[in-house]
Amino acid sequence: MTAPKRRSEIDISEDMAFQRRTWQVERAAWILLGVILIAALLGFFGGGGLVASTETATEDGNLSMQYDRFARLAAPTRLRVVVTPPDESADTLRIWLAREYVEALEVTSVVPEPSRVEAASDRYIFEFPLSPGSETATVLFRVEPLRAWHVPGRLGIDGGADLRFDQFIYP
Amino acid sequence: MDAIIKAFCIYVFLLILLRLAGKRTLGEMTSFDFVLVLIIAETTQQALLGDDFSLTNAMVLIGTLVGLDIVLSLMKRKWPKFDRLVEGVPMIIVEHGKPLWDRMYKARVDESDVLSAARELQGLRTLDEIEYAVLERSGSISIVPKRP
Repeated sequence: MTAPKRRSEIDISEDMAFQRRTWQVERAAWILLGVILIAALLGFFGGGGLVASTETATEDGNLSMQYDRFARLAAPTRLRVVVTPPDESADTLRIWLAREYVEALEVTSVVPEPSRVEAASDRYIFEFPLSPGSETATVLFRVEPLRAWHVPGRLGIDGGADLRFDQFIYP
Repeated sequence: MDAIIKAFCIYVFLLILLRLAGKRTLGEMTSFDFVLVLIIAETTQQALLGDDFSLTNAMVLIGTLVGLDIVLSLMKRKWPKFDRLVEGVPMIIVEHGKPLWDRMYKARVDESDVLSAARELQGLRTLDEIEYAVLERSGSISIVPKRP
């Protein structure tokens, strides 16, 4: 195919061996792109999806939370915390978040609004008014990560059980 | 610092992605390719600027992108192999009026693309009047007519 006579007729730096290698790499890259897109669709890169969201709970099930294992920098994500209050007559619920975790993100809103927030050396304690007699209470933290890569988190009930979780924040 | 890293990442990412997508992807722009370019520009812009709309950020970003372009052109001049890697090589797709089908198929160019280039550039009517058609590094097709 690559007739040598061509050189004299048309001055062109054709290189079919290189061109064929290029095509091979191109085809491989298309497949790779397809795989990456499927992974993105499943949620491996955050932004929602089957894999992105996960749940963790304490052994007794009194404290559980739903969070995004994979999230993105400066993109909103949330922690959904479900608590069974230890004391049925309690009218407040105190949930803490590790200071290190809170420093890695911006808490944009908390539902319900905490009645007070306390700072301790290693944690922030959020106190919520609790409707007496409730079996469970759900608290939503809407947050935006400020730091990329691995962000370890820890959350617990003041004076009670706690959960450790890990988030991977894509830049 | 952040802006420079972002600009660098986007520049390298687009360079690699568009190179791997193949020459024809944006080389010869159809109206849809034009829309694609607009969307890519818009998406990139959001990620690059984030929520920093300051003049300083804009200047740093533009400076970085232009700087990268200069560096890339210097690298291409210094290392011909790098130039070939980034820009690819030209390839003959029609020889003495005969289309080289397997090359055209792999490069995603068809007869009508060649004929359209022949009409536009040289006013030729048929494949037979073409001595050489070359798929250039830029992704465009150039036509050398047969000598009368």
